[in-house]
This record gives sequence, structure tokens and C-alpha cells, in this order.
Amino acid sequence: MIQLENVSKSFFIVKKAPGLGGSVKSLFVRNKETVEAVKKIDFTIADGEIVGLLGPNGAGKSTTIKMMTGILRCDHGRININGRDPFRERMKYTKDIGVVFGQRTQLWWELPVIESFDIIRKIYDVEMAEYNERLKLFDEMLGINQIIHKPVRNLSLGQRMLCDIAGAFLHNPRIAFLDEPTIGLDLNIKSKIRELILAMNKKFKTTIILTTHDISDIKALCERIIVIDKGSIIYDGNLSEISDLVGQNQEVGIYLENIENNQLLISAVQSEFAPDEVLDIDVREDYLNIRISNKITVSQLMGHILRNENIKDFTISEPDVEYVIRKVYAGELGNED
Amino acid sequence: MGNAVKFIRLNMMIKLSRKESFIFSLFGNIIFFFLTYQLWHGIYAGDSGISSVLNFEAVILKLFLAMGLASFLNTNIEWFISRDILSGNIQKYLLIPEKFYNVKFFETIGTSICNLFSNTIPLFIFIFIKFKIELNLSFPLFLFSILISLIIIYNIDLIIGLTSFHTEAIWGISTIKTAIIAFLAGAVIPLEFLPLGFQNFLKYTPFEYIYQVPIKLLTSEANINEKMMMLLMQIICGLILTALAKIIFAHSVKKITINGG
Ligand SMILES: Nc1ncnc2c1ncn2[C@@H]1O[C@H](COP(=O)(O)OP(=O)(O)OP(=O)(O)O)[C@@H](O)[C@H]1O
Ligand SMILES: [Mg+2]
Repeated sequence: MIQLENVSKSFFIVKKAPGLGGSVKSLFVRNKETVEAVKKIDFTIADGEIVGLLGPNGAGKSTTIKMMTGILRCDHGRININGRDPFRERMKYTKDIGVVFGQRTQLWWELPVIESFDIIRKIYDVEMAEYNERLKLFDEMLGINQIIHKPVRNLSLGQRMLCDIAGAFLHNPRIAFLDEPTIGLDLNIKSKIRELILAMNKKFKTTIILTTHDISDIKALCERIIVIDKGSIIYDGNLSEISDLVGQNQEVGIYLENIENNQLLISAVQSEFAPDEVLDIDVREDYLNIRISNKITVSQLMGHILRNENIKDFTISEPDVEYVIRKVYAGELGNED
Repeated sequence: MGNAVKFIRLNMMIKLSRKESFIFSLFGNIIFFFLTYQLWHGIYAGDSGISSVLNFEAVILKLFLAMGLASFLNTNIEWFISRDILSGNIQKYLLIPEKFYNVKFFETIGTSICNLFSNTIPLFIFIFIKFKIELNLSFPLFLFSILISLIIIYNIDLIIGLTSFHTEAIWGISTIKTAIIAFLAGAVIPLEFLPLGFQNFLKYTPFEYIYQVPIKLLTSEANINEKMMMLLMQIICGLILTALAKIIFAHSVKKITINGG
């Protein structure tokens, strides 16, 4: 169980005027500036959940993860994970968690991967039999056996990431914190990593907290997402309901006999419905994509436009998560309180 | 204990993966020894009364021993700690269930063992043969004392590395540290040539305990009680610095910001 109550974190940075002159000046006058990276956030995550932490660049996701992993102390508030304060009881707490920071490696750069795995086995007291079994599993799922005898510094980004992920799960942690585990990876490696994360969650009930900028990661892995923006939580709930955030309800695709002749239909829709009813209309290759809000229903829309003889076919689909999240990041919240 | 062995072994492997640097550092040391010898040879050739303070043989013996110890003890871990703090890679060390203080100490031992075989043992064999040093009862004391020196230097390096939480000027600080230790601990000129008052002052600083105590244990005429006393003082110095380094670490880790991400 992970509980964050009212957690805040600020950083002080020394502000410098630009250029060499500014650098010289900063030797004498130090302009300190406070960055509120995380502001009073609260959430609870139960054992066995997979939760995606989302938010634009600089939102405070990594800072939140650093505090939850016990390497950064929060200024205010309380963090309680499995009954422990991660920062104050860091040494005991680390045994329960596995961590991947996608931008860096937890492995020993100069040495073959297997040496890092070996020391992880030792310091986390993993039984030899269990260790071998896990290595076998990781090889089956990730195909890492050909690479673990190479020094980490000679691996490609994707190979290194596979090894880092394997390293994080090697000691069967109760919780895994994965900060951008798929950054810069090709589709094949991404899907291997997703499969492993899901398998760990299913098989061992490992709680997974991950951040990513890749919506397909989210779709593949998370039921629940927490969206952070400018240090505050703006959404915490089911992925399937996030479209409520921008008030979008459904997407309707209208296939036309003649796509060039779309103007009539578009103006008909726009004259009938208000901008908060029909959110936008996109002209795609051979169809129009209409996003409607929860203020109207699909049948209302269709009732109005089916009279148009140009229509060949239509589809109705769930809101597109990527579209919604882009809107959220852009600050276009539909029902902000 | 098992962890210690693992980390020492790991660090030795890392050092050995850069084997060229050993050859260069042994080579550099040999040149350094040779130049030191020539320099003092020149000074004594034009003797201006310094041989009344120490004779040439004694100077060379003291300097060679101190330089030989330096080749073993200088691991400069502050450099690596600082690099990790500034890059944020320090997180790796904070995320494992072993104390940062211990892991860094094990790494230091690993580096020192590599130094030992690549540099120190060859140099010491040369010194022991050249100066016909007898391996008597003092020798185990000497070895033990070197271990305490290792702890003392480790703590000093750790404290200096942790200053990177506050300043990014580790390069300058580290260079100054190396220069000051070399000078005040007696690896540049024998301390006997310094003013008497200053010599006495140094006896109350950690510098005395870095190279001087092991050297005196090996070479001085002092009796066993006096030698035990020196060793005891050195141990106390080691304990004080250990406590200080741990306090500073506990304080620093609260301030740490873990850059990047
Ligand atoms: N060590 C630090 N020192 C100063 N400011 C920091 C530090 N770490 C983060 N910040 C600031 O805190 C804010 C949140 O940063 P954080 O790294 O948590 O963002 P993020 O959500 O992980 O972004 P991204 O998606 O780009 O990784 C940013 O404004 C950043 O500039
Ligand atoms: Mg981040």
C-alpha cells in the first residue's frame, strides 16, 4: 500500500543572468529562485495495481518518484509505503522495491551485466535457485542471455534498458518504480518490456508505478492513471474515464461518397450544434472525424446529418486517449473545477 | 561481510578493466621516485648544513616510504562521489540495501588493493632491498597502521566529496587536498625541515597520522610502548574522522536533490 498525504517538494536554483557577464556576476550576487516541483499531492495505491503517472515535461513526475523511492526527502507531508517512511527507513525499504530511471542505469557501467546481477543477488539475499529461475524467465521473455556477458557501456540503449528492467525485478520487489522505462526504444523492445511488466504484475502481484510519454504504454498497461501538471494532481482515476476531463464523450467517423464535398456537411453540423457540443471536426483521408461532448448523444448528431445523401457509412468509437491527453497537457480542461 | 567481498571484487574488476592506467601510474611513480632522488642528491651535493638535520639516506628513506604509501592510499574517491552527485547518478548508491558509507569504503579498498599490486609492492620491494630494512616485530604494526591510514584518508576524501552538495568546485578542492596532504603529511619534504613549532602543531592534526605514524613504526628507534602509543593515537584519529564523516553524510543526504530525470 502506497500513501501520499499532502506531499510537497521545492528546489532552490541559483538564477543567473545570461552570458559570461551574468556568470561573473553570479559569483558575487546569488539570486535564489524557488521551484515548486510538487505541490500538496495526495494519492493512495493498493497492492497489485498498475498506475501510470502522466503529465507534461517538468510536471513533477520524476520528483514524485524520487520521493517515493526514498532518495529524495519531501519538504512537507507524509509518505507511507508498506508501513515505512521511504526516506527515513531507506536502507530497509530499498529491499522491497525495484527502480528503473530510464535515463540512467542502475547497473555497473564498466562491467558485464551479469556482474551487476550477481551483486544484486547478493545484496538483496536472493536464493540461488530463485535467481536462476528468474534469469531463465527474463531470457525467455526478453532474450537477454546473448547480452548479459557484455559490459553495460557496450550495449545499445534498448539492450541496456532490457537489462535494467530485468535487474529491477531480479529480487522480486513488492513495488517497481519505472520512470520512463520505454524512452527511446523501438516497438519490438517496447512490447517486450510491456509484456514483462504485465507478467510480473500478474504472477507476483508486483505493484507497478510508471511514468511515460508514450500513450500506447498507458493503453497497454494501466487501468488507472494519475495526471500531474505543474506539481499538482489534475486527474486520478480510470483511464477509460479520462475523456471526461476534456468533456469528450465519443468520436464519430463519417464516410462520405465524395470527401471533397464535405463543406456542406461541416457547416450543417456547425450551425446546428454549439462548440461545446461538437468539439471538433477533422477531415481525414476518406472520412470526417467528429468529436462530440457529453452534452449531446450520437443519435442526436446522426439524426441531424443522416439526411445528407453524401453519407456512405459511419463508425462510433471511444474517445481517443492520445487526443484527450494532448488537450489536457495543453491546459484545455473541459470541466475544471 | 559477504557484501564487502562482493563490492571489493567488483571495484577491482572495474579498475582492472582500465589496465593501461596501471602501467602509466607505475611508470609515473618510477619517474617521480627517480626525480626525487636526483633532486635531493643535488641539494646534498651543495650541502648548506642540512645534513646536520637529517642525512641524505634518511631523507630518501622517509620520502620514498611516504610516496610509496601515497601510491597505495590515494584513491581520490571524492572525485567519483562528486561526479555522481552532480550527475545525479548517486541515486544508484542510495537505492541499494547497503550503506553508502560502506559501499564507498569497500570500493576504496578494492582500488587500494589494485594499487598495491600494480604500484606499491614493486616500489616497496625496491625500498626494502635498497635500505636493507629488517622485517622485525615492527612490520606487522606497520601493516596494521597502514590500514588505519586508509580509513583516515577515506574519511577525509568522503567529507571532501560531500562538499559537492554545496559547491561544484570539486576539481580545485581535490587538487588542493592532494597538495596539502602531500606537503603536510611529509611526502614532499621531510617534516624535520619545517620550523619546530609547526612540526609540533602538525602532531595534533590528522596529517601526522596519514604517512608519519606507519613510517615511524617501521623505522624509528622508539620502544614498543611508544610505538603502541602512536598506534593508539592513530586509531583515535581514525575514529573521530569516521564519526565526523558519518555525521556529515547524514546531514548531506537530507539536502541531496538527485539531479536529472
Ligand atoms: N534537482 C533539481 N534541482 C532543481 N530543480 C529541479 C530538480 N529536479 C527537478 N527540478 C524542477 O522540478 C520540476 C519538476 O521536474 P521533474 O523532473 O519532476 O519533471 P518530470 O515530470 O519528470 O518531467 P519529464 O517528463 O520532463 O521527465 C521542473 O520544473 C524541474 O526544473
Ligand atoms: Mg521525468
